[in-house]
Amino acid sequence: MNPCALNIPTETLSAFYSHLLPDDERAALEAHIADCAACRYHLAAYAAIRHVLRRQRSPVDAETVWRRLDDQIIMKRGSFMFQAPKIAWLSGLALFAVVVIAFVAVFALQSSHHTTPITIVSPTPTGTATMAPTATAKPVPTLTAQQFDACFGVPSDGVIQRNEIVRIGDIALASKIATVLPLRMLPEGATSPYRLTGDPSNNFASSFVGEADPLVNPTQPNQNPYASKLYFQICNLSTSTTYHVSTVGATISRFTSYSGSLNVASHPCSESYYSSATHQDIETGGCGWATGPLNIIANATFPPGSTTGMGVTGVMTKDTTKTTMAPGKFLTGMFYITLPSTPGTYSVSPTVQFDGGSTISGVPIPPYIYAPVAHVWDGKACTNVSIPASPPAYYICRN
Amino acid sequence: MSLSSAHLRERWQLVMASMRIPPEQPAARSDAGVQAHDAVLHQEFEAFFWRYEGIISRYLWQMVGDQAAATDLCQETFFRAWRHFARIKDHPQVRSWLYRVATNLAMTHRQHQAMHLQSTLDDLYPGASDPGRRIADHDLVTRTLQALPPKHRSVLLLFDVYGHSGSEIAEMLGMSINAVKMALHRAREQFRREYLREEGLE
Repeated sequence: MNPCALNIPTETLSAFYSHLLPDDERAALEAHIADCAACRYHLAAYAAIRHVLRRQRSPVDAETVWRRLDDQIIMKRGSFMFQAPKIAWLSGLALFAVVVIAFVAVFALQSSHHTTPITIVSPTPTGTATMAPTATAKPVPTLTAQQFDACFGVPSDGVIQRNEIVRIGDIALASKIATVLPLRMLPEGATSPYRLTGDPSNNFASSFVGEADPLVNPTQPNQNPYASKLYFQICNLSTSTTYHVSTVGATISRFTSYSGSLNVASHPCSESYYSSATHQDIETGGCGWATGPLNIIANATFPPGSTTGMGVTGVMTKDTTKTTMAPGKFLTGMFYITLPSTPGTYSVSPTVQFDGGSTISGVPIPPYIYAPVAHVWDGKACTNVSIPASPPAYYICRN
Repeated sequence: MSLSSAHLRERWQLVMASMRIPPEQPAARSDAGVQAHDAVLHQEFEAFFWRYEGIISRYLWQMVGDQAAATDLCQETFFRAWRHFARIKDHPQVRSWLYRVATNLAMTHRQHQAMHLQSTLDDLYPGASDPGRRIADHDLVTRTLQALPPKHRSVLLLFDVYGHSGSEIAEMLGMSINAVKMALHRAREQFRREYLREEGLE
């Protein structure tokens, strides 16, 4: 490889890679880099550093931290409460209301409309010893790091978070939005390229976790990338008992009515443009996470007018003989859901029923907005020319 | 859907237990509101912890290169978050706040550790305080990372791994944008050299 003809200092290349160069310098350097293998080689080294750093995984056991932290908080609680202001409206009646709300929340988490309303998982008739009778469904499961890795480390490769898991006794259930191309709400009336506000280094994570923008689902045809999909993973933590999944269901855990039209866009991972550098950083080919092979595929349609608490049983389209879970094994599943046609915000949770009637419900996924009128934004109609050169950012365009 | 009263009672007890409200000893009326408020806040905090624990513990581990220390610092970061929780929980920049606290803790920890370790090692094994040997059992990336000056390491991680922009990092760490730019460059160059040398490529 020839050395760089312009002898560009590495300091400049690093600033370029960090989006910290003034626009004019940046444009000039881009033109040079296109022809200079040495500079490209150096930038590739920076990208490699980023890659190896992002691949690192922490050995810290979150469960340990939480246990210690929780103890610390409880020890301090007396003084905390003493200092806390007395809140007049939180009288006995309000306490009742708070408890009722929590009751309803926990209840919604555990119940299913169409299945037997038994919420503590019990083993198949052959096993009894391993179920803890005091187990409660809790979105913060007590899994050791080893159990977590065995259940959820593969095939989702670290994508599943602990707050997406419910555990009751032997069974742990993780639920997650699985739409590979989630949609994003955009402002009405804008005609110029729309600047994405999510975190590009984290695959615009805000659109995954519902942090900034609710997800939007305008058409919801089944089994296409835009459908409302719910990924779930069930793990058998028992060392002796085999479980058989009999049915899977979905429940609307939260519904808020919404009116008005929406602009939507396909996921920026596949269809976004970077304002001033097109040859780096963009992860092409979609940055949805791979689910690995699926054991269970199910479809369900909510009837018109379905609202909070409504549940439907899924129709399993995959070989039902693959729904047996030996001790220590897990099953993966995908639920394709057609929401009711009423405009609004929906949050859905999966329910898994085992032979013998016991049921476990998952953590509700972040809300989707459904609206009958939607203007689709799509990166395909966007050209780099129409994107502002400054400030550096990712954009999508209206078609 | 029907539920037996026994079932309802059981569920009620579970709810009360999960909210840490003693089932048989209702609190005095004047404390009840505070207690409920406290319990709700605690639940919110639990969700908050599980939401951010992953990034913060990884960042701390990458900063200090030691599992036990990262565990301690992670606990401390979130304990501080708990102390200010009512104020920070809905703050739009709560993530930056956590990174800032974690960075400060990691830097302070390293200063103490460096001073302590240095004197101990010098006393016991003259010459053994070579940073390369101190952390010889760590993997290559960790080792390379730990060889960087703490501030450079922090800037590199916050930019490359945790996706903060140069100006955000400048504000978070109280540096000028030029200092961030320089730290990024030095960190990258040092990382590149050490990593390649360790791999025997350069």
